[in-house]
Amino acid sequence: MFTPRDVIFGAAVPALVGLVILLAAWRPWRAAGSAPRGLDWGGPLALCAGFLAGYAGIFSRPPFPPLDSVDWLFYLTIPLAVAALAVNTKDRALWLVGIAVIMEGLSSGLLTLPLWQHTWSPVQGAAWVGGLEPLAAVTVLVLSAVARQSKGLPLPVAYLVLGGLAALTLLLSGSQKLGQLGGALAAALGPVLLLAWWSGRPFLSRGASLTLAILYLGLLAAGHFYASLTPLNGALLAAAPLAAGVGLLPPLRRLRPLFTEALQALSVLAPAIVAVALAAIEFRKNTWE
Amino acid sequence: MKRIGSCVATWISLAALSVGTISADTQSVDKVHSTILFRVKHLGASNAWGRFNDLSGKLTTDGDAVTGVDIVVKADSVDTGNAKRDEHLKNADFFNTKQFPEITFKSTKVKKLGDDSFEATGDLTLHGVTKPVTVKLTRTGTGTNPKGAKLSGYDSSFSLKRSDFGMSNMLGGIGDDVLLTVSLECAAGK
Repeated sequence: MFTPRDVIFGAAVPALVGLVILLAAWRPWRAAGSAPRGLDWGGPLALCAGFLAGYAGIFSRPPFPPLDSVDWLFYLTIPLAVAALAVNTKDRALWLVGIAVIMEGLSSGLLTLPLWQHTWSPVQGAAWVGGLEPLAAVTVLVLSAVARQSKGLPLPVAYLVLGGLAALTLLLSGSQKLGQLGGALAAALGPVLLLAWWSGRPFLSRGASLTLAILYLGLLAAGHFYASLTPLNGALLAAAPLAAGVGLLPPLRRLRPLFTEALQALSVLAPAIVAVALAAIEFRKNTWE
Repeated sequence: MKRIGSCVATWISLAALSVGTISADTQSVDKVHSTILFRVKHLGASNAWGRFNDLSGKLTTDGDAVTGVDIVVKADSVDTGNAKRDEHLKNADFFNTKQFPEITFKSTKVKKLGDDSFEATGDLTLHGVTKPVTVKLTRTGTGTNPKGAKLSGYDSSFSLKRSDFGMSNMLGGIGDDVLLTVSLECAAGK
């Protein structure tokens, strides 16, 4: 049911927009010695702009304020880009956690506004939003820590594949829209991860970690609240980026870096593969389109 | 003197209200004997049909004439005969029923066209978007139920574009034009 337009705007355009922004930030054609530090701030901008380009290209720009609360993800991307640039200004964990908590509060608050109105009790709502905030903070911390530690290609590739698997799971969980948005995010992530690895910078800067975590968790939350992403698949996909944290544990840090990184990559991919498989089994039970 | 004036005003208001009640009847929609069907093109080939199983509302009449229509449909009662497809329709791709649990029609004007035909203009709220629509309403018959309540039936059929109501996903595969067929059985005195 995908049109050529869906493929172009859902994959090619986000990747291309991300690539152009990253190259403009890095400017690798400049004289030798120009450090690729521009990628640190280029990363979150590339993610946000690529995601926005994919979003607007597939679905057109949503009205403001959005009709469907899922469309808050579109407008959330703008303050998120600003927050990501702010995060990059200070190398402090508390600064990163504080901004992550604020952005996740904003994201989950806006996404779940109708549920507060129609479905949830205040306690239920507070439990959900209050639970997502620490999850976002931990995800951002783990992503930025493993990105700093990583030197090889397996982990960036694993995160790229994770993005694709999460999009596929959302698609199989009854929402083509969220699946396509997940695909756009994964496509925008591609050049961010690969150029950073190529240049020798951490594959995700702190700002890029923040952007990725908030958008990724936002898509999963929307998938659970407004589509049919099961709690188990949601939990598996939310846990997947954290699983690379095993590489930060002292026993694994003493192993050969490539071995550690391969193990981290497998840890990231395993829960996502299980989620896709479960969603596919459920989907195949009753195909309808 | 002021108090007497207030009492007279209250009495006049109550009298006017009671006169209104006598001349205008309210009929409740019997959800068991009422149906809302929709039809939409699938992949440019066949017509896919579905229905909503939970509707309620009322009609107001003045003698033989319908003077008001007020219908509420629970969006998550959508039923196409396939549980998975229904789940998809309830999701954010289509009706987004958690955010927009109700579809409503509230008439603002009803014009009598003939003995048994009417034209109702009103506000249709679907997927959180309210738009004015005008629909033809045909009285299909009248009767009495076993409890002695007067019954009347009405049919209506009209088309709309789902994209007009912000439901623009998957327009490539699922048609934009939706035909709605409504059949109501209304009982007086409920």
